[in-house]
Amino acid sequence: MSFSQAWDAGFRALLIYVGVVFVWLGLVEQRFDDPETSVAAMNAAAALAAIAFFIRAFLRARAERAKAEAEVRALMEGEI
Amino acid sequence: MSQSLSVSAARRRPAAAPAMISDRWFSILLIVPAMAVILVFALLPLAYALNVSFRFADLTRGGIGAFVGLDNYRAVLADEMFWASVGVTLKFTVSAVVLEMVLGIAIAFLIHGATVGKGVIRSLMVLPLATSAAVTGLFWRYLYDTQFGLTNYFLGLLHLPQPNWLGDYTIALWSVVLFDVWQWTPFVALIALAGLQALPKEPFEAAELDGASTFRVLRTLTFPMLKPVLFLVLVLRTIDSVRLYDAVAVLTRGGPGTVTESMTFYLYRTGLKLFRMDYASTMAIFFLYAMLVASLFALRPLLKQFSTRASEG
Repeated sequence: MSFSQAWDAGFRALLIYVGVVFVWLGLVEQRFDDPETSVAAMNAAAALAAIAFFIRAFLRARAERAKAEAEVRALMEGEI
Repeated sequence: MSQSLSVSAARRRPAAAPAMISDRWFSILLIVPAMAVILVFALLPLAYALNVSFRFADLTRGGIGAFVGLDNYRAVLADEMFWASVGVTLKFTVSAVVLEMVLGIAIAFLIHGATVGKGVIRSLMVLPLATSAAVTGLFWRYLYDTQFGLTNYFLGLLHLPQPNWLGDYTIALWSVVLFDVWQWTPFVALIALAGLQALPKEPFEAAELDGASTFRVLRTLTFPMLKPVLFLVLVLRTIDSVRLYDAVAVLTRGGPGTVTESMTFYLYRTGLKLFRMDYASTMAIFFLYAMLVASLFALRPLLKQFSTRASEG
């Protein structure tokens, strides 16, 4: 994963984290009696979603790189 | 002869001096001014707003107060006025952008087909864009005036009802939409016209030879080829419409009641009229977040198109 890909995925992961926090505060929190429990659960859910997204982006970038390298290798072998 | 030439050229060109600065540092140096402007005018205020959104900041009771965690976010999410302003903004954006796109594209086709006066029409169309909404808004306020307004004067001549354009809560928002459509339709028309004039002629000549109907040419050639341009205009107009502030500030100031109070105007009223900087900062963060997510989704097809073209090229 290149730096620019990591930057892009990191930014999107941050947006997902913040989005989960907003949705949680607006829709889910009133179901909790204790706000501290709610905040802890919210952070856990948001972090999980953001990390899952980042790992998915990382795996996808790695697969794309491997595919591109294979294509280049095939071309080089074809030329030789 | 050639020898003398090469000697004189060598004399003229001095030996390459060792570089004072590497290419990498030179490129960094070039972007430093832009980065400094972004840092001072965008990132630092954003960091400050983020800080204030987590604090108690009622300016009528002193300055920036204690850390309150997510309380401001909870308060804003539970605020009915905030959601009402979001509704007004969405209603305005959808109606204004749809009207501007439809009218703008239609006007672009008309001008494209015109044989004389294209230059004059184009120049006239730039006029609403060249004037700020604060100025043209004042003109429109006089046009909409119930006693002295030209609009109601002409309606009266035709014996038609003379509505209170900015005071009637059922039509006040549509009056703002009408003003925005008047100001921004020429922008859509000019961009669409530029796109139309840049289209290659060969496919259209081939379609004409094949006897394709006008509708078929539009559906299969003109619109697909214009799509990137139209999509870009759509995104630009949507982003600009969501930021609606000046038209509301000049025409209605959010009234009557709060029926034309857009998100940005409510943010302004909360922060600079009610002095609740904490809620205003929180709303600004919400606004920024919504715009970022919307931009990511809106620009995705465009960026995909660019990357496809780059890989094809």
